[in-house]
Amino acid sequence: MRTPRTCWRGYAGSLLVIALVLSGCSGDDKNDKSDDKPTPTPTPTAEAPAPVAVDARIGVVRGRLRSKQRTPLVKDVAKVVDDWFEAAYLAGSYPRRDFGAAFPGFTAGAARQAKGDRKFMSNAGIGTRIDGAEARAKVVRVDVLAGNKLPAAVTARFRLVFRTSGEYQRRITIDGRLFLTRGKERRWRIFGYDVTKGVEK
Amino acid sequence: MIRTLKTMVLGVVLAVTALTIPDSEVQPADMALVDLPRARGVDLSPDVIWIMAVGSDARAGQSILHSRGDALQLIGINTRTGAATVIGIPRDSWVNLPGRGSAKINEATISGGPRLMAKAVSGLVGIEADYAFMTGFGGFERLVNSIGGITVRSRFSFSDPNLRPRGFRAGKIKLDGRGAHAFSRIRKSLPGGDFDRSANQQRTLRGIQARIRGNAHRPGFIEGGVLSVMRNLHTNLTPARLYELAQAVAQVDPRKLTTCVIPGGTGYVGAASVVFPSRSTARRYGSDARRDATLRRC
Repeated sequence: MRTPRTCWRGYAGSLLVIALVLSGCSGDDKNDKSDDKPTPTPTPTAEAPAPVAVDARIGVVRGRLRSKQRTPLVKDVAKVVDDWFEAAYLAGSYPRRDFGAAFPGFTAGAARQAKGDRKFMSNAGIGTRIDGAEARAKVVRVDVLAGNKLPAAVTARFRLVFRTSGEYQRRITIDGRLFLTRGKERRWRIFGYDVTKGVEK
Repeated sequence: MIRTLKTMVLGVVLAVTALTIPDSEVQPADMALVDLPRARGVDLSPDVIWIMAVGSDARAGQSILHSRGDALQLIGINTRTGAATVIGIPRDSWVNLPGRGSAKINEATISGGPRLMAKAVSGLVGIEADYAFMTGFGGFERLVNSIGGITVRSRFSFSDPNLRPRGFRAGKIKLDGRGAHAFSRIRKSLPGGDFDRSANQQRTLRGIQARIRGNAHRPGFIEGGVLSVMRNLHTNLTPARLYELAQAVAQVDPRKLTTCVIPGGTGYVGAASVVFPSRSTARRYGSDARRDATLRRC
């Protein structure tokens, strides 16, 4: 299912969207121990920034899930999400044409759909015009549906900010939600997505 | 005072205009254009899934699996295109119940549970559901309340002395669980009786889908909704599968949601008032929507 759409907003609109996404990263369940304070995006500098680690935390938990289960869950989900960040946007040798392996951790069907949306779901649209992509922020919040005291499904709300270099120099923000359930081998896999891409000079 | 107000309004209009209408010739240095393309997708297998939604009239202490199924809707969702369709089946439809002869379709659950109901629906429409969701009055009301109520567009102004004495007005109305229940259940005061009630049930489903889609971005909304389904609907699906279905529902594009009620004539079999459904139309709906969950016309 693909419904890519383009809309235009002013800069104030983009700030609002980012603020909303960040505020959306806060858990709304008072019973949850999510500590979701927005992480300020580092200010770009002329020097090459240090590698950016994923800021991953638990979000909203529906159903019962023990505290000791939350940390490994967040770690596992963040790994799946970060693997996609790297494969789709950050890693690889630019200029780059091949994005065939951009969707690790996706189900076969979701990867097929993501390839159809590859200009949004990867750097496929700009890969030949850049010579690098450096992360500025990686944020993941993990909302959990728990059944029988086990995590059954998660929504990974995320935000990836990176800056491209080369002919096409932009600050790009990818944010949205990834939907994950466990496959037969018990690994978390992405079966769906709702992703927005913002580009600023 | 009025002058000040006018100036303020003008200022706001100009400010909004400046933010929303880009000028290709002159672009202030403190503004930038930001494009926000969006991509959505959900992978479920098969691509088109069919759900039989049954509203049971089970009273307290009765099993919803084996009470009369009074609201009956066959829902198809195409996870590749975002299309969905709902085929309404009047509850008094006189059909063949496999292995049991002719009867009203709402009696199928009494003698054979949801499985026989699914077979009866398949015999009429030609599509066998992949899933069956059964809910009673209370469960349905709690479900609607758990998502914060719904908004529907009522075609008629109508009421019922027991279920809704003050009635519903025509047009856009907001309903809580109790209101949605009454809206979906009232029949006698509708000009088309059972057919219009089935159409109202579809308006309720449309309202539920819109509510889910509109709130899916809220942290924990889908997860909370699935928990509510687990508590209020009878289903043997795993929480993970329910979550996958919920995300598929959330990604249905309302512009691609088509609904039809199987037409027919009314009459009697013995003393029972029944609907004789148009089998050819029911089959046409099935043929039309089977592959892509889209009805071209009713």
